[in-house]
Amino acid sequence: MTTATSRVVRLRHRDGRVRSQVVRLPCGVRVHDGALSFVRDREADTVWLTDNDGTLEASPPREDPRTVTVSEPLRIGEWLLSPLESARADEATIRSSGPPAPRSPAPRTDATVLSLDGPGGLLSSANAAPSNPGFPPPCFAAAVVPMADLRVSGHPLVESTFLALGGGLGSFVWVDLLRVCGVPTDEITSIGFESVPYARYRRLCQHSQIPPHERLRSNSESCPDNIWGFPGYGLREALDHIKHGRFLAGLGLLGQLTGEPDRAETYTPRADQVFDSIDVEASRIGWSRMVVPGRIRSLRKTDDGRYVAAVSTRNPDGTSGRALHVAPFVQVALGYPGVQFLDDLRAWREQTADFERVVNAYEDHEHVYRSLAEDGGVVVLRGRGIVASRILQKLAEVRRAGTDVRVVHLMRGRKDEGGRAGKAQRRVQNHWEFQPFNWPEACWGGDLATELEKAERGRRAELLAAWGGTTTADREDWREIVAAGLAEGWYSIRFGGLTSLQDEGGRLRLVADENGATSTLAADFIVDATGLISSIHGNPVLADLVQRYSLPLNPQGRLDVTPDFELEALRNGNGRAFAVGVSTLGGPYAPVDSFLGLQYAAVRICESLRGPARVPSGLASARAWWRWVRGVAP
Amino acid sequence: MTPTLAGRWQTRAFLLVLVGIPVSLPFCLIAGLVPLGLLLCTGAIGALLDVYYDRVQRSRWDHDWPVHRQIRAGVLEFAALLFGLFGCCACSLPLGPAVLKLGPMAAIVVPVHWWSVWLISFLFVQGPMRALFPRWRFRGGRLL
Repeated sequence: MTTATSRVVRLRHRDGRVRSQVVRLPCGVRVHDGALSFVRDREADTVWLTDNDGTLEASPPREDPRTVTVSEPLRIGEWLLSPLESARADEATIRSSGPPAPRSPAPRTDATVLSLDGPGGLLSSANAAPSNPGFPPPCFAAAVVPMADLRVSGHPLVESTFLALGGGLGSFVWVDLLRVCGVPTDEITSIGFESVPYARYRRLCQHSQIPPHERLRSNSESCPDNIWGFPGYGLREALDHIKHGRFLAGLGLLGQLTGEPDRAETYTPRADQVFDSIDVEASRIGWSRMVVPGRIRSLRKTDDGRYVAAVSTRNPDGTSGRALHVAPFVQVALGYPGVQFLDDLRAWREQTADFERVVNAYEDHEHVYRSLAEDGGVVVLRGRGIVASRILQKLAEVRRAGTDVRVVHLMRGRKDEGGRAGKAQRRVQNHWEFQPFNWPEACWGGDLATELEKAERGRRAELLAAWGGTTTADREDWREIVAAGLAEGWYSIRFGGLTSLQDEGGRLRLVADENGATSTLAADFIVDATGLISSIHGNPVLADLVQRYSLPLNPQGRLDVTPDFELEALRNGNGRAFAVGVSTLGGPYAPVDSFLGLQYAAVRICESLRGPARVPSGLASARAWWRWVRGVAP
Repeated sequence: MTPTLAGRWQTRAFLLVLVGIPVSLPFCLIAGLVPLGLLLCTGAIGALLDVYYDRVQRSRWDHDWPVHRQIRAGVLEFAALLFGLFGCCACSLPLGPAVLKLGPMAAIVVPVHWWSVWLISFLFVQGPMRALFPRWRFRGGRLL
């Protein structure tokens, strides 16, 4: 629960000043004219710091209920705040705090945080490892926890049949299918930190320049709100146009769906269309009745063939609690643990605390575009996937508004030829490699999906390497931006690794090396668009599970699951535990972190469970679908 | 949905029975058993062409089978059927004499029947098939 406690935090100003401070939590932090102050009352312009079971948490200013764990520096104005101790400081520490404690590295096992890049741009995760010796209870030290111990632990024991851990889209898709299978809401619990299942995904979209009206990289029939994929988003959008008298637009979309991907650009749904549809489906299946807002601390087997998850919960009044959730069928869908940085950029940020000029595309970095819109400047772009395309599109828009924005695209190497698989080859233009989605389409359910599932572990790695890789969508507007930028000279491509990064008169000076030939660049900003961390070791709950149960890993170092997405080593009598999403990347199914991939996984899980949740077929399915059409609860 | 060869055959057989036969029955009132014979021929020709489609599909990067290819496949199958029918008529092979018996009406009944079956099957695959069999699209069109 949220407690009144004290913590030592370290504050570092952009100009290099450093101070340490003992703060009594909860408290607010406010910056006025560069001066930092700590206040007792929560006001509109304060970042609110709280203690949750030993974990320092922060809520952004304004009346925003989001809260994140502080395990990496949190930017507050021109200051960076870091916790110095993972445990609480007691009153004695306050009195004798004296000289600042040496800076300790952010405790990576303390929490899972994507980024804390300033108020309003907070990312959060539902996952955190135990940091408080009082919770999870001591019985969690055992591999198999006796139910009798749980009952006397003093924490509420909540039992259900299906337990979804994560609370994001992976959980939602599974829970949705369970409801379609006829499972009542009181048999399902989903635990997550966000109120809506797509909250985190939407935040990542916004930061990576996919505003609600922009289109995602997902196809028409990948509908997280509809297990049947019919009607797909394309048909829905076309019918909506026709319904509102926009016949040509509607027919144009139908033509696009017919001609894609050879004679028309591949259709992709708008972000807001997807989010709105999930809202409708969430309401239909009673999502809010199944969701427990909370942070997952640990997962263990129980001695009666089930599983128990220790959860720090958050009450509607803002206070915290603790609970133990027990169920025989568990699905783990914890998502990406963090943003990924190239090593050189990570080192720069750690050394200089420069969170302003060196940013990750998935962080809130609107200040970059605001600055460029006012003064122009040079941006070095790293990465050449879909996010890099979106960043370049945004930079082109800022440039079109009238300022002199220049982009230097620093690519690690040349790309003159697209990847090959059999006789097929991907297209390449200006060193960008294209494919409609991040995997060939047949990976979702065609012959490539079958081939990968049947392949040996070693062969799987080869297949995944051939089919995957960094690619972007073959969008005409993006190709035109690149071509126009190259022709007009405001966009240029350089090759090589970054060998040096320095501050030179307020600008960044980069030295790139390509096969021994060095070149120097001057830039105002660096945007790292190389993606998100997908290693399970970045996620303390998963790392704990792997360690406790010696779970096998796949060749890519992620959770080894069966084709039914089961964590076989976690089987517990009749109890079954499954994992979906990016933590299973590198296994028997390639597109694990896509909408359709999550639906595929949900179907496979329910099929493998057989009895408790039977996927409807034939007329039963048609009836369930008709209920979906009418918006009637399953 | 990206079909596999097994998925193509199973879906084709299912559609022939579920869509083909009911749609053919009204035409049988005019043309006797000719529509059912055409249906059988279409099934056989289509099953053979599926092997070709599968090869084409595998040569594509995405191993996909977009909608415009489905339409082109329909045109190809109809052309193959007509070619076969002319052969049957010329050589008096089964179905040839029955079609000839229809006289000029055959020029209307054959295409209208065939395209009716194709169009309803095509639309069925785009939607109702998915509503009936949610796993179908995840299994490359396999029903079994």
